[in-house]
Amino acid sequence: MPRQRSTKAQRGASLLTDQQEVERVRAVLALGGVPWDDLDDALQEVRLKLLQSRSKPALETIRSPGAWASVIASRVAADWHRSRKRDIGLRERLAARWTARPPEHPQEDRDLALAVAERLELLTDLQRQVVALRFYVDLPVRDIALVLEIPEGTVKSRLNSAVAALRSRMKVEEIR
Amino acid sequence: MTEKEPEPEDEDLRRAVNLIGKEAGTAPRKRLSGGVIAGLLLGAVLVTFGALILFTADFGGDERQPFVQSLSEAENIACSEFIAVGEVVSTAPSDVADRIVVTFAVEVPLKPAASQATVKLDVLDPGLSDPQSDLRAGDRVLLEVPQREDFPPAVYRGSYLDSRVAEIERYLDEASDTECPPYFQEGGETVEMEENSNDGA
Repeated sequence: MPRQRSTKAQRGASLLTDQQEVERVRAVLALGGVPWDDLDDALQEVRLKLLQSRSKPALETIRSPGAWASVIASRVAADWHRSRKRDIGLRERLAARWTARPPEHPQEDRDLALAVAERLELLTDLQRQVVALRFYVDLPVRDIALVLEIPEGTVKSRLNSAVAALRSRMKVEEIR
Repeated sequence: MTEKEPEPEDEDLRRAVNLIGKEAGTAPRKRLSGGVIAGLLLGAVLVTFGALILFTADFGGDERQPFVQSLSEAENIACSEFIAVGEVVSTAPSDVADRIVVTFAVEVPLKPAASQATVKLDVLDPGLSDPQSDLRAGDRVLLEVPQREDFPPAVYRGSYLDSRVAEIERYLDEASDTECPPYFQEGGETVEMEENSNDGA
């Protein structure tokens, strides 16, 4: 006989039922270039792939289930553009959101984010993927290499070229 | 191998990327459209794989452990607190956000083998993660309630219900001698996201 379950919230990572986790996955998808209008469809695809991963041997070795969902999201984002158009309005969407409501963040941070958003659109899909995993999901390089099944050197190379491109824009913004 | 310390500009970049991510993550949702198709696919996969996404994690040290693990069918059953076919009599919001109290009229108890005719279950709302798993009064479903309160129950209905029941029955004996891995047990460690953990870049 099942007991009456307690009312204490034991919220944690599960099949993307946690709102924070959902937002995190949507963020990785957007950073990876999925258009905002497609985020919910892409989110469903992430869930699908999470379920499919059950049929595969346990190959993955990073720290948290939430991070694993983000890794899958980064893969979905990288593949999204093969059959669909990629997002080309990230900067404009951010600017529109911040115009439509009172600013919650310092102007300096918003300017920086807008500059990076604009520059993100010029990166390749694979560069965006490693940027999202390194700077948003906060995975170390070795874990990114592990989950993407590529050499660490390749991750570093993609990161270096991506960061260089992003920094160049940041510096331009800073001296305006 | 030691990774270099992040440069100051990396922190700026991290801040910018996180701000973009925060905005994208909370961007307004659209109502079901193309997602419905993906949802149907999801439902199909739920059935095909007897779906439960299962995780393990290690927080104890530097030793790297697999954190995504495929549970066997026997383990899946061992990790379930309640499995039965029956009819949803009613659902009501629980005291806790995102949870619902399901009044369930049991027709075929599978785990435990015997059950009261009607039970009340306080569970994470399965409809939150999958519209196909939304529970409504009158639904005849197979309900698999995991031990962990923070995992949603798996819901099977329609033509998939019987095949899933047959699959469970096939592994019930084996499951009785199978231990649920610690992470999936009630009271198993709750995963905390590491905010801004930094192992170097």
